Amino acid sequence: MAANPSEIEALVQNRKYEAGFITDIESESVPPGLSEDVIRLISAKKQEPEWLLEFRLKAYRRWLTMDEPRWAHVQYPKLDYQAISYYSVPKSMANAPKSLDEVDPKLLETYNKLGIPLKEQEMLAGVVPDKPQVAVDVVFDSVSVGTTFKKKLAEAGVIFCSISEAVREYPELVRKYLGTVVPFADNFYATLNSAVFTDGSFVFVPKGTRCPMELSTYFRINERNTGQFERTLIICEDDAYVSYLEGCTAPQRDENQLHAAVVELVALDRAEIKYSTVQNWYPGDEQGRGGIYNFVTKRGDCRGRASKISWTQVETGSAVTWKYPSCILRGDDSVGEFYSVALTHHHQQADTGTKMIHLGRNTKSTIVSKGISAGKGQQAYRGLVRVGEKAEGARNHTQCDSLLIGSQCGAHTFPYTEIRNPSAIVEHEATTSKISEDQLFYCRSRGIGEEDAVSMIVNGFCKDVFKELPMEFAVEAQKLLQVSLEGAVG
Amino acid sequence: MTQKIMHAGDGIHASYGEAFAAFAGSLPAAEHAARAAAFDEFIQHGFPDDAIERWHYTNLSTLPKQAVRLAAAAALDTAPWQLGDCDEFIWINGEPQGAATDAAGLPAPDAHAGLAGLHRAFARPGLQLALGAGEQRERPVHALTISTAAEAGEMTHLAHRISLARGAKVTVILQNVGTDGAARFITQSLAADLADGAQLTLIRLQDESRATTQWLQTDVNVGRDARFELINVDFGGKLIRNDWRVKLLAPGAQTELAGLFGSDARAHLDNQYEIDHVAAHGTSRQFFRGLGFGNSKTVLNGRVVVQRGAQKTDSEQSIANLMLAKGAEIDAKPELEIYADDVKCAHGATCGQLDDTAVFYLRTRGVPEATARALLTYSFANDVIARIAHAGLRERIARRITAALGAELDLDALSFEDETVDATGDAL
Repeated sequence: MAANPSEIEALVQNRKYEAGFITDIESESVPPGLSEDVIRLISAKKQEPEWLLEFRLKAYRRWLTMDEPRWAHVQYPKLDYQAISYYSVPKSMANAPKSLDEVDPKLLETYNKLGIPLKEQEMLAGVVPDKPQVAVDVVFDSVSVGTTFKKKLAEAGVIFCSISEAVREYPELVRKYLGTVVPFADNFYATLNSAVFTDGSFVFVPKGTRCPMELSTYFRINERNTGQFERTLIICEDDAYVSYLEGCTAPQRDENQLHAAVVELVALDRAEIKYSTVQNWYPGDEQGRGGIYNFVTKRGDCRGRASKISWTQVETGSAVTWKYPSCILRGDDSVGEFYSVALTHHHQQADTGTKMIHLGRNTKSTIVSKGISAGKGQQAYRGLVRVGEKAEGARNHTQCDSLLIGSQCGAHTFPYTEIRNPSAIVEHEATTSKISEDQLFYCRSRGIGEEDAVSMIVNGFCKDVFKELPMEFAVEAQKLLQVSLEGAVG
Repeated sequence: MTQKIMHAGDGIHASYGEAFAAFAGSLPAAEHAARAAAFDEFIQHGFPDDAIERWHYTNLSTLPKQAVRLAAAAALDTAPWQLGDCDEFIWINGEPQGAATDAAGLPAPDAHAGLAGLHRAFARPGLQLALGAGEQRERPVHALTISTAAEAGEMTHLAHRISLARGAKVTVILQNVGTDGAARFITQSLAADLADGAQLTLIRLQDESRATTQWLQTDVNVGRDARFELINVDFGGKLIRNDWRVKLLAPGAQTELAGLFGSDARAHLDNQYEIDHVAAHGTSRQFFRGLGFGNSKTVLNGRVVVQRGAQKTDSEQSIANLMLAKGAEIDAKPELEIYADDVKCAHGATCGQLDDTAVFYLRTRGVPEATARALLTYSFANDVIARIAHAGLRERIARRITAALGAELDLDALSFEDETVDATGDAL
């Protein structure tokens, strides 16, 4: 069991009311602004080795020369990177939130409707031991404070800890893989992350090991004005398997917050990584004020033969989303998958999709993207399928559907295909439609209320993606869509 | 002057400047100010490079590598290209053969500020066609632009304009050909206005020389219940970029765009199609077929925009590409941008090879493999070619393709005098 169950329980307890408040924890933040000194300070506080500081500084110097990308189909005011505080660490974990009265009742209502997404509380306490167990690594602001099930994982030889801990305990592993999938100079936000990342998860599954449970991390943005820069690194050695769940919530606030995470996955020979996300950052209010800017770089490298990486995401939150979980299909016979449901409501904007880079022979990729746009939401699918010259027998199928609810929203599709091998077979199909009057009328004539009917139709629309999610997440995702779509019709 | 100019080298821009000074001398004084302003735009923005999303796959910034001059007039026997049963208008190196026509104002393409500036500065009037209300022409109009070796110079810039009044109807064949291997730089623009109920069928055949860089922008405004049909066939050139913009401005406007492209040389073909549904009840169809021959790079961007309020829009797009050789590259992007909810929009894009079972079937019938492949490839391309109502032109295109396929096909066995086709191609 975890080192201090009561602490974790307290934390998990907070999730019950969901995250519409700012947890009042005495935290040690550095003043806003970014300079080499700040990076040295972060590195020193985390007692990092010299090579990691060099990695950060190299990234920072490169970042200074880069421009913010503007090609995405989203609009937002220019960010002031000097107004962000790049480090914050909670001092005491026992000092949980004081009163629920501080919570915006509207948000509370929403979250009550959602319920507790995972029964992690009982699981942590061991109340329901016969059910599948989920290990949770809670990222509370920027430093990981609790990791459970470590022992059980350790028995299997699986390393699951915060990346800071990994830097201390397994420096050679981190050094070997960090930045090999998303190089330090990859793009503006990834480079910023490389310079200032504070924490995140590290997973290492050794040869021939099937991770005995699903691994899960919850992220919270908690301290006012602190952007969160997680760094996640997952390595699966030969013949290993892991399923990783990521879910996030965030407290309500007025200022826009930047969230620029980097996730790197490495799959060696015949390894398989399944990465599932339910993203529900604060989307801003109905007038489009506030909300999280979610500018994330996620990439998996199918480095070994017959390896497989599968991304599944349900994106309902954030004011602006800029996210393209990708697969580099380097090993022969490797497989990449991307399943996505993205929902934009009110003034939310999302530009999301994937990249499938076919480099090895007989590589296969599948893309299923479902976009739902309601209110004044703007939704874009942006995907790239590239077949390299040596990728004999590459195969891709892309299915990309949009559902429009309301006359003020938008749905956009930008599918890039770049084919350089004559044996490639690449297919892309896309449709855009609205919920038909006939479908609605049919449901209503059977006594189903309008909102329930819409939710039912939307769930059917998303079925192909939900079936890829782990069971608990699938339930959560359906509820999330239902709540997120409230007020979209009628 | 901006950095871009410095980057490109003073000598090169001095050479554009000299060409412009020489050209401006031949212009009426009233045009001087507008032309000079356009030239300044070009100087300020230069050529587009791949940092611009719309020019991601086509970088023209490497273009000004040598001194330029406007191509001089040349004489040439144009009979091989004439179609016979059409009203012929011919330009050789930008020089009209026969009476010159005046243009109604300067063209206004906008795919890139610098490129558009260059075009506006140098453009000479090309086809100027205006049809009155209800005027329906049975004979197609054939606009033939030929680039050929001149004593000096390699740039030509032509601006075409088509204006159809209410209920007018015409077929225009725009053919761009080049005769030799000289390096050239050609820009053309075409602006077409279709008033209510007008119908324009535009067939464009591009077969420039192997060293030609060409940019064409076509802007078509389609009025109420009017219809614009395009069949674009791209075979030649070294670096070809076409920007097609169709605006459906009023309810009931329709457009159907078809394209066939494939270069059998080391060439770069970039077609950017954009259909803008401005008004409700518009219909658009797009149908593209691409052939990836050896070392060619073909780019296809099909973009459909449905503006807010353009409800009941019905839009379909189909892109299919055939990869025929190692070394070929096809980059296709079917884009949808939708701001209205009561619409039907679908698109599909595929890239693949000939069906092996189909090849096998033909071989079991005694057809040699090379011929079988050529036949299947031809039939793939024929989905576009068959849309051309003009039998003579259809046959020329078919022969051009079979030549590129490098296999003997008995074209005489294929009927080009298809009795099911009427002058508009509607029956197809």
